[in-house]
Amino acid sequence: MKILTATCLAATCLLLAAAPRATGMKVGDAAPGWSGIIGVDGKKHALADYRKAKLVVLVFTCNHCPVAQSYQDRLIALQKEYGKKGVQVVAVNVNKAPRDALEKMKERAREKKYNFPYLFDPTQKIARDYGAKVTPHAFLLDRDRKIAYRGSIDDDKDAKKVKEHSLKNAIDALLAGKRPPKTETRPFGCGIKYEKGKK
Amino acid sequence: MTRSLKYFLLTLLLGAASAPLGCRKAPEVPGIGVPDLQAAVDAHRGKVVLVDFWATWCPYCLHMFPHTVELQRRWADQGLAVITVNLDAPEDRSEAEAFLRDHPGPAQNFFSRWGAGRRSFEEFDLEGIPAFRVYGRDGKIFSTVTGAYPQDLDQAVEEALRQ
Repeated sequence: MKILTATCLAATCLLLAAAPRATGMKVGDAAPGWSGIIGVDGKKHALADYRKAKLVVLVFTCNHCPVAQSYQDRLIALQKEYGKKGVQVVAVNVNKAPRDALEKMKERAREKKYNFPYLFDPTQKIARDYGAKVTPHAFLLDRDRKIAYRGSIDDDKDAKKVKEHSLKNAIDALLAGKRPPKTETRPFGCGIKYEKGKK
Repeated sequence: MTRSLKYFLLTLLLGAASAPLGCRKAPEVPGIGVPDLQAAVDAHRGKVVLVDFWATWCPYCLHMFPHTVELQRRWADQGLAVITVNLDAPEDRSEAEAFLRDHPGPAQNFFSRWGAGRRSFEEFDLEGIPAFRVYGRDGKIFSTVTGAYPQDLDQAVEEALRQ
C-alpha cells in the first residue's frame, strides 16, 4: 500500500500545467484589421466600424460546436452587461460545414436574439490572421486595438462550473486602466476546421 | 521499485480508471492525468502509440473515431497501439460509454480526470479536439495532429511506424 501511495503521490506531483502555446498573434501585438466580412445582417463589417468602442471582444465561434453553443448565452450576457461600458462583442464564424452556413447563422442569431454582430468569413483569413484554434476562441482588443488578452472565455463549458471568468476579468482590468490579471489562457473547444493547405 | 512492479501498479491504477467502461457508473471513475497517460504509453514501449483525444460533444471527434479504430486494425501487426482519452464531463460519461460500445476496438479507453473543462486542455497540452498524439517506439511524442484531417493522421502514424 505504501508503494501504491507513493506511486499515486509521485504521479500527482508530476502534474505540470502546460503553458498556452504561442502561435498566431501575441498579446501586445497590433490586432489584425478586417473589412468586407459579411454579417447575418447582410451588411459588410470592418474592425473600423467599432472605432467608438473602448474595447472589442472578438470571438471565433460557430453554429455546430456544442462548446460554442454553450457559450451563446454567456456572450449575449457579456454584451448586455458591458455594452453600456463601451465594450463591443463581435462573433465570427469561419467554419464551412452545412450547419455553419450563413443562412444557418442567420437562423441562430434570430433564434437566440444575438445582440452583437455575427460575421462569416469563408476565406478563413481573419481566423488565420489571429491564429484562432478552436470555437470559442476569444481575443480582447484594447483602446489602441492591440491584443490585450487571448484564450478562453472562462474555464468551463458548463456555466454552473465556472471558477475563473478569465475574459471578464481582463475586461474589468482594462476598463479600470489596469493590466489584466491573466493575458493568456488556454482556449478550448472544437478545433476550427481549416481548409486543407491553408492551415 | 523494479520496473515491472512499477508497471504492474500503474496498470492497476489505470485499470481502475478505465475498464470495463461499460460496466461502471460514471461518478466512480476518477479518470486519468498526464503521468497516467504517459505510463499507459510506456507500457507499449517498442510500439508506436496513437492517442485519440475526443468527446461526445465534439462532432468532428465522433466523425474521426472510426478512422482511429480502422488505423489500429490496419497497423496493429506493424506495432501500432491505440489509446483513447475522453474529455466529457463526468455526468456525460454514460454517453461516451455507449459510443465506445458502438465502436468496439482493441484500444485502451480512458477518461480525463478534468472532464470537459479548460484544465483538460491545459494538462494534456491540447489546442482543441479532435487531437491525435503519436508517440514513437521510444515512448516520446513524435507528432500531434489537431483537427479532423485523416490524411495528416495517416501520414503521422506511418512516419512513426517507419522510424
